This record gives sequence, structure tokens and C-alpha cells, in this order.
Amino acid sequence: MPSLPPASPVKGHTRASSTDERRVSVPRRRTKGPLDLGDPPFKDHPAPTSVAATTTSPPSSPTTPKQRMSAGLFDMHPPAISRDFTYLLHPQNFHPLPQHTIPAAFRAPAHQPTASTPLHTLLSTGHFRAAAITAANRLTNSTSPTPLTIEEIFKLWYIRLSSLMLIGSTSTAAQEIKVFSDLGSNFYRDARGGHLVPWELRVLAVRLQAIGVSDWRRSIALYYELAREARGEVLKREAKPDSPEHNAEGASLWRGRLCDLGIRVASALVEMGDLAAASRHLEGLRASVDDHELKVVLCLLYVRIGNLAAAKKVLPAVGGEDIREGVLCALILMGEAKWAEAAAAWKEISDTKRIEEGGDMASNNLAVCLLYMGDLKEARRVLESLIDGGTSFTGLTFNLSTIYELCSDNSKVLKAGLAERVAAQGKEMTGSSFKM
Amino acid sequence: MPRERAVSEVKEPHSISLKVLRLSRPSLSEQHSLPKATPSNQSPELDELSRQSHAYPSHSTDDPFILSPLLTLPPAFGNAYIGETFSCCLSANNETTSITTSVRISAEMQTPSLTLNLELGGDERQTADLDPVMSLQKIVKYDLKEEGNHILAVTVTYTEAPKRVDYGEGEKGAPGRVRTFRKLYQFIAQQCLTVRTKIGSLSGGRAILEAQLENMGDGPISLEMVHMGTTKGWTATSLNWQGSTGRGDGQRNPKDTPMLGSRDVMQVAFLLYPEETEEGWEEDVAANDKKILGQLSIEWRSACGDRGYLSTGRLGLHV
Repeated sequence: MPSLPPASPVKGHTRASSTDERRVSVPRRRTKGPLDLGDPPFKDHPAPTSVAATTTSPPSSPTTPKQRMSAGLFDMHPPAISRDFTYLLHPQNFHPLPQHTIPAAFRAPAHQPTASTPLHTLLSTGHFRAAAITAANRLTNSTSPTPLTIEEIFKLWYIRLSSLMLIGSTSTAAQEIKVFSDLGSNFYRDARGGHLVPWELRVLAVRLQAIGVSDWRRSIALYYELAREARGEVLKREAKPDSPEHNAEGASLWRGRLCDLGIRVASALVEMGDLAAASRHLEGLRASVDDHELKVVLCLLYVRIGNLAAAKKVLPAVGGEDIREGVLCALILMGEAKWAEAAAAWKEISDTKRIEEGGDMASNNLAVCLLYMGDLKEARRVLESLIDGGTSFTGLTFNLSTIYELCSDNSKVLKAGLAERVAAQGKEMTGSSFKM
Repeated sequence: MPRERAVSEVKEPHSISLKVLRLSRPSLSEQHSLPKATPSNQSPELDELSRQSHAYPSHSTDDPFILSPLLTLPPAFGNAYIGETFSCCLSANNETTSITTSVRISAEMQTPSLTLNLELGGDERQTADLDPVMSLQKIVKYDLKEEGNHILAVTVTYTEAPKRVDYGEGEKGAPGRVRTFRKLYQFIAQQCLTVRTKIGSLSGGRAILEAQLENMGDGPISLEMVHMGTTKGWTATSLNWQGSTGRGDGQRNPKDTPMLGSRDVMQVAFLLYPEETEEGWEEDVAANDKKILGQLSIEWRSACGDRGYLSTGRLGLHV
């Protein structure tokens, strides 16, 4: 399997040269985009030009009847989009991935996918590293007989960036996203003001761009930008039952996105370290009374802050039909150092719930609790039985590796053995998951 | 990080290894949830990407919050703060291929001013016979009260497996040696909360106590309680947020519990007035003409519930 995306034929794929190339080429291409308004589609259809040109007003802003009419016209005849996205296909956009972050067990040929393994198989089997490389290869493969469609380009980019995040190379993803520059620019919108980039990539880009420029505040501003658009889309679709844009399904999709952004803002505040602002933000979200998810989020945040009294107060609003209340209750007990009670609570959940219903988390937490009670042997048994049952995730292997370090001078061997077992399950994990 | 030193009587490798894990509260795993794919793009493999971005497989893919209920063990020793309970898991492990008997762990804490033996929790056995690969765990707890160098000294005593010696007429086991080793873990206890107080006298024999609380720790803390315990003859009224004294908190809203970020300062105040008793004002006047009013005590919790408690010295008003 190739470990690098194909290097540019002219230069070696060194970091310095690719950076230089980007510095020269990318801004130039970008400035070309938004100034492309004289391009054929716009010449032919002057009305949408005015919509697209008003960059400052969000697409959600109330449109004049004339504009709405023309938008309706384009529903029937979507304009052909001619944007030059070739700058997204340059090999210099993609950084090589280091090999050393992967434990030897996962590098064994038996556990490595072949170069011809299709992308969707790589993703569904958890080979995100290979998926990231394959996505980059597909994007840079200029010899392909059929050029990539815009949709394919963005989908491959999404797979590339999210796979990088999953293998712990978020900083690389944060560098690579820079080639998109300003996703809010009109260059990325079609003649009707619709965004060409799929929503998930736009949302993903916010955090990565904030990391890329080390500015968290920016990410919050960008989430609010997206939220404004989402709110506008909801209003547009809910507006009047007889309007052509009325669409209950679409409205609920956008409402879901709006809620999602509200939580992402809180996440960004937590990541910034401003826990007080995060709690104020979540308390201030106007959610319906039965928004249990929001209450769970708030409760978790209070536990993290150490305000257990506030966490307890939120608890009744969480609702008890699910395991949520039991889980939060047990977390609070652990915060209060009531280990035995908490262990009993975790045991009850892990005994009654299957792995895919939350049993994986409850068992892991039971093991953590047991360790605080000095029962290392049972803690180890619980975690090992999870692994033996075919479940593996970073928190679990991290905890088990910590227990191995406590159990023996020989923890390296134990951890390598654990990596072997996880590798045999097919999924690839990095060394930090095993404290290597 | 604590420095670890081993003191041992023989150079020969020991049959038992000792490992230590600092038990600050476990942390909630962080996750960076990938957004859900647009309906037109949805596919099982993109769903898998989203599922894998969560802390554990059964986590709801609808919930993008950074904190998850999945607990992970402390990744590092971290900082030790005065007022908090220092807790460690000690594990004595049999590293040999034969049974090791009478394994015992004991621990003492050396603070800048004193050395004391610690009671050990965890495994109920005082001494244990360990099969190969087996371990004995103890939990040590100590309330940190002093600033500066602390040393956790852990002593492990055990009896080696009898060595098989051939005496000619059949095998006889020579009794195993009793061996002991000691490991020292050195760390520094720092101030988490510094308290600066000022007492001023008011008319009518009353006094006002002002205190500045500064969070010197590296993470945020929740101030659970700030209470002025008065000496006989004095009463204190809290001028702080509702429920701040931790007493009679019927209408207390825990949301109001103040949170102090790292290096944040908060000012609290108490109004003190003398109680009228039948014998007149009973005053506790110390030798240096200082009226003793009472002590300020503060309780807080840091990440995931780690608790801290601090009490000032006796605060007085110069007369």
C-alpha cells in the first residue's frame, strides 16, 4: 500500500516546497473565484447575479418577490456551475502521514488492507489511515479517464479530513483545510446562493480552521454564521404552508442542524477552557422542556466543572426512560467519591444493557470504579472481557493499558499483546491508545 | 511528576515490583464528533466515520458534545494541592514464576514538618501470598495540609519462594529469604487557593471581614462553601451569594455556585457583630491585644468532583 499520496512530478514531496507552492498558488486561485462573476452562467442569467453578489446578506434573508420568482425558475432549471476546483486536487495539498504512530501489531501485513481495497470497505472496517491516503490518491489522480464531479471532490475531501482526525492527525487536517480558504465566500455558492460544499464539510472545517490558525474565538463566530444560515433555512421552509418553499422535512433537518451547532459552540468553549461560558451558553439555549439531550449535556458539563449540586439539580429533567439518568447519577456518585455505590450502579447498567445499548461504556466505567476501590484484578477482568467480546475503542484500551502498567514491570509485553488482539479485530488504532 | 527513588538492601532483582498510580478523579473522555452526513450523501461508511468519532461505539451519533460519560483513568500524576485529598493506588506484583508469600505493603508520608504512617485501604488482606502474575493492591489517602516537599515512602516486605536445593537424599526446600525494599515518591504540594483577609472595624463595635480568594491551580474550581465560623460572642452575616455558607440552603440555586478559573480572584465579605449576652460582651482577647473573631473556611471541588477544604488561621481585630 502506498504510504504517501503521489508526489508532484516536478518536485519531491517535501514539506518546505509544498508550503511554498501553496503560498503562491492558493491565494491567486481564490481571488480568481469570487471575481468570476462575468462567467457564462452569470451572463446568461442576470437576475441571480444580484442574489449572489449581495454577499453580505445571508441567503436566508427575506427575498423580494422578484428574486423569489427567479429562484423558483431555477428550481426547474438548475444553473450549470462552472467553478474551477482544480486547486483542490493538487498533490501539494496533502501531507504525508507518519508511520510511527501505529503500533507494530497493526502494521503486520495480515492486518493491512491491500492497495486495491475500495474506499468504502476501508471506512467500514476502520482503516481510516488507509482511507485518508486513498482519498488523497483519488483526488490527485489526474490520469483517471472520468474527471471527478464537484460532489465527489467534496466527499473525498470530507473523508480525507475526518479520517485524519480519527487517526489522531487533527493538526495535519488543520493544515490541509487551509486550501479551502474562506468557505463563507461566494465562490462556494451557486447562482441561487445555495452552498456547493456539503454541510458536514462546512461544519467540520470550522473546528479545523480554528486549530489551523490557533484562534478558537473565530470558530465560535463561524458557528454562529452557520447558525444564522440554518435559522434562515428553517424559517424559509416553515414560512407559509402554501409557499413553494414550504417543506416540513427540510425544516426539521435544518432545525436539527441548528441544535447541533448550539452544542458545538458549547464544545468549542470547553475546548477553549472557558467552562463558565460553556455553562452559561447551555443554560441560555432556548430548548423545549422535553429536550433531554440538552439536559444530559448540561449535566455532564457540571460534573466536569465539579459543581455536583448543579448536576444533581439538572438530573430530574433528563428523564428516566433511558439509561441516561442512571449513567449521570453514577457519574455524580463517583464525583462524590462514593465508589461502592457507583460501582453498584455501573454494574446494574452493564448487567442489563447490551454492549450496543451503552453496556460498553458502563462496563468500562465499572472497571474504573473498581480500580479506585483497589480491586485491580476485577477491573482488569471486566476490561479484558470487553476486548474479548470484540469491542475496542481508545478509552478502553487506554484504561486497560494503564492497568497493565500498574500490574507489572512487563507492561510493554502486555500492551503489545493487547494491540495484537485489537489488530486481529480489524480496526486500526494509534500508539497513544495503548500508552505506547 | 514525582521523583521515584528505590532503596534496597541487595542488588539482586526483587521478586515483587511496586507500581503506583495517582488517583485524582477519573476524567470524562473528550470526543470530536463528526457532523452527520447530508441526507443525499448518507451511506453506511460515512455513518461509520461518524460513529467512530465518538468516545465509545454505542454513543448516540446525534450528540456532538465534546464531553462523554466515558471515564478514563488519570493520564499523569498532575499537580498536588493543599486542601485536597491525595490518593494513590499501590500495587505489589509478583514478577516471578513461583509463589511469593507474606507480601505486605506499608506506607508513610513525609511532609516538611512531620512523618506519619498511613492507613491503607483497598484489599482487605494485610499480607498476601501471591501466585505468579498476581498483585496486591492498597489505596492510600492523605489530606494535604502543608506546602512544599512531600515524600510518599512505600515499603514492601515479602518472603521469596523457597530455593530448591539438592541435598543428595531427595529434595528439600530451603526456607525463602525475607526481603524488603522501599520506594520513595517525591512531589510538591502547592497552594490551590490563596486567601488574603482584611478586617476593619465599623461603628457599634461591628467589624467587616473581607477576603480575596485566588485560584492558583491549573484548572477551574467550583466554590461550594465559604463560611465564617465565629468565636463565642460574635455572629457573622454572609454578604456573599445565596447559599454560600453551605447552611440552610433551602432556596439555594446550585447554578449560582461561583466558578473560579485558573488565576481568577473572587472577593467575599462577612459582617461581624458582637452578640449581646447577659454578662455583657464576652470577648476573646489574645495576649497581643487582638480580638479573635473566628476562622474562615472554604470548600471547593475541581474537575469531576475532586474535593478541597481549607481553613484560615484565627482571624482577629487589633484593638
